[in-house]
Amino acid sequence: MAVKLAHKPAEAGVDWEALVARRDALRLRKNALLTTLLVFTLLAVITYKGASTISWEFLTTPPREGMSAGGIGPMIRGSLLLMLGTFLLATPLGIFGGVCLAEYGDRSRIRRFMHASVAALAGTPPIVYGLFGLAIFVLKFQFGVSLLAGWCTLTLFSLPVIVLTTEAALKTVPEGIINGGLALGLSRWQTLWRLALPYAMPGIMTGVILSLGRAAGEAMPVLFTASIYYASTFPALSWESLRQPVANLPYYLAEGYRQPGVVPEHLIWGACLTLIVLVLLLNVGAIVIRTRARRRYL
Amino acid sequence: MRAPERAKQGERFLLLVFAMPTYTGKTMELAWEPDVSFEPQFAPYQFRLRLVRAPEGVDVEPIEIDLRQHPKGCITLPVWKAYSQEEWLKGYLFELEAIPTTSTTWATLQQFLMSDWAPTILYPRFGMLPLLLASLLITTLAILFATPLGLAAAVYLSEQASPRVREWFKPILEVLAAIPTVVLGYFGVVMITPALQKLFGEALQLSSGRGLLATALMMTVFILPTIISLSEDALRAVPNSLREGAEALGFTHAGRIRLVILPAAKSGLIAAVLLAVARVMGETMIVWILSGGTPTMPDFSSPTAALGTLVKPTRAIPDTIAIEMGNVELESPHYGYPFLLGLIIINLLGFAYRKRAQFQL
Amino acid sequence: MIAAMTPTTTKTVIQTVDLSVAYNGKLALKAVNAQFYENTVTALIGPSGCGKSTLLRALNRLNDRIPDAVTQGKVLIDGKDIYARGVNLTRLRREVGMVFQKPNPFPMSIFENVALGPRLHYGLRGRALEEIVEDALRKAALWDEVKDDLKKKSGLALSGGQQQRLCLARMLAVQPRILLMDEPCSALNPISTQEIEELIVELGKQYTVIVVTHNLQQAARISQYTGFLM
Repeated sequence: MAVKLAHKPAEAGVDWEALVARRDALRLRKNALLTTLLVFTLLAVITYKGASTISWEFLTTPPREGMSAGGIGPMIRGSLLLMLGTFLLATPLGIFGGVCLAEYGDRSRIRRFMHASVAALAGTPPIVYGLFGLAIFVLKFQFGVSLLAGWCTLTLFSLPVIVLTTEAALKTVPEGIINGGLALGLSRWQTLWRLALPYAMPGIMTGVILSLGRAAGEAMPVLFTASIYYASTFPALSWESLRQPVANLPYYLAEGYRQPGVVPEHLIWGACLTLIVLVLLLNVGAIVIRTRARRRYL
Repeated sequence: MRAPERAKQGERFLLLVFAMPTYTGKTMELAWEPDVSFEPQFAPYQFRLRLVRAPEGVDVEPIEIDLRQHPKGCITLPVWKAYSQEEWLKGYLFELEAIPTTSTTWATLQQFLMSDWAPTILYPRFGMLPLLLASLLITTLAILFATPLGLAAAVYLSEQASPRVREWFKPILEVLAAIPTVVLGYFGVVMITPALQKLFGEALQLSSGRGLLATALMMTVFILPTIISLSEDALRAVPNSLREGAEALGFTHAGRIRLVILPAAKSGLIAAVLLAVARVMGETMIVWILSGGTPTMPDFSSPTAALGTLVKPTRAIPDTIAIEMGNVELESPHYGYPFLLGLIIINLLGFAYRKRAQFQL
Repeated sequence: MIAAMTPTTTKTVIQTVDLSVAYNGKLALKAVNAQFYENTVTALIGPSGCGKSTLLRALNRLNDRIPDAVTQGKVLIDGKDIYARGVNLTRLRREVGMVFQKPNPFPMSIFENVALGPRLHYGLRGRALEEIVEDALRKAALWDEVKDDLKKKSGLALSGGQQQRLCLARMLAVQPRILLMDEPCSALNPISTQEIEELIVELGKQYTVIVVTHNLQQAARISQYTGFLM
């Protein structure tokens, strides 16, 4: 039987094998560099296009002349309002869900099933949440197209990610700490509340902030449930305004596209830049929390 | 005559026919023809027109017309004039009956797959094949572009890069993943569509560069972070003993990756790609902005046609939902279709995820 | 597996009756009958994997945490079976303290580490709490080293030996009667080991102490009785 050599022995003089290895390595690195380049191009283009529009007036005043001039103040305020309510609703629910999944998942098959379901929900595209919110909150519960319906939909949208990160963060709690707590005679609940949750908190907050950032940038969940386009006044936070739609940045951008020519291009780019900065600020916050937590425990 | 789009089983519509007093002829004609949007072969109902009652003193043969067999036609009736509102009601009385054909489901399915998408005309058509094909094409192209790039980057990160490079790269990926899809769409409008129009605009008379290719390119950017981080996780899950074993056998670096590490991480990599497929299929904003919004049947019969298919406007499922949802009247049957499309998307996703779970467990 | 014990006249605090533990259907501990006496130090020795730690963890029911661990037989503490129905687990573990192989201080200040147990169990606060923390730290011979930055310094900032003594103090603050120690010196350097050993001898005068060790000399140095598992 003939044996075929996969690699030819190195010839004298030139080390071909080393050269090939070097070439392969460079080929691989090229891809990572390309991705990095892509990110910076994206950011650079949007900054370049939007920077000239950004001014204090643009950020704080409402649109004028049928959306064709003025600022995007109400949209920013509306986005922040949506975020606030989503944060308040989704954080406790998500942490509770994650705790249930991590703590009460002894029966492995049920746990695996639940985990897979939540993971599937986390990857479900935003438009499905939008349709669901429309069917359930807007029509069935008769919230109407309103801030409240937007909160509920965005909460559902960001919940799976929070649940998963909470579960993952609780899993990183060292066994020693749990055992130590139990050996002290703390109940399971006390161990969780006093030891595991504080330990996992940075991880959980990272997840919460990241999912909020995702929710802040998505137009689809609020498209049918919470949004209004023509906003010339600032939304206030009151019981009545809960049942009224709000203007927000992603929807402003989506509508700005759908009705070409109404909103001048420089306003669109200014809004794009604002939205990106808002989302990236949230991300930077998450990265900072993560880095500081890592430093504290290592 | 407008056929009832919401005709229920055996529903009847009554039709009064009379002549105005100023009419001078001896006979009058009752003519019908279908709306341009009417496709009898897809109609789930059989429409029948029947004379119920003739006015007093007028003698006519009984009339019964199958409108499916005679979608266009004309009958002549002896004239009968009405002078007052009470007399109008004594004119010819016809009955239009909608009888469900035996193969309603089949007809709907046929229309679903074979017709085109025109939901707002008189006889709306919900053929979604073009939409489905556009969605599938966009997904295929985006995966074809993103997988080699993302996989290679992931291999670099997990097998070659120093921990410091990895630490730097992670936030960069997170930033890319965090950029809102609306913004990605606009980015495509300034960077990709003008380039496409410059390349093919004159040859194909493009009004813009929006279409399958532009969408797929931006989708590539959209799923790149997903593919990279998930594949990197999968690669890092490969136990070090395998790497060392391969090294001990004298494999080159590339051989180690290709023959040992990639096969070992296979299921995780497939899951990464499937997850990316699911995300692309459901992503709405990018398609909405970049697809052009015109439902078109893909045509690959000739190179020119194929190129046209790639760069001319199209429309996929998710942006259809977004567009239709904005202007459907609630409770109309039309309202149900976006939900149906949503369900199809969820089913596709479910399939992808089931596979993913199978690979992971 | 045999546990050989020298019978004496001292009062028996813990008695195991045909105690068997299986993980995943595999027996880790087979029909152990052993007695542990009041206010003495008992060392458990034996080759690795013979079930020393399993026996120890069976005594405060920490094995319950492992999903597929099955325990059979009885563990009598003062004549009462702790595996009987309706036993309050947290009360049991308050009575039977445990120190682990690897020091596991909680990520909080030294004071909080020690105060956590008494605060939650006995609702202590203020002066009473500070007293009990000081007392526990003194018993663990850690007070003098940490009294200055008690509430500022994290338990994780201590050295390995100090961390282990902190864990001892944390356990003592809950006022147990029985102390279980699972190779408490194996992760420590010789100097810290000596400090902990002295501490164990000292604690043996007031508590029933059971120490798992893999070191015969250590067993000889610290214990009055030795159980050998194989």
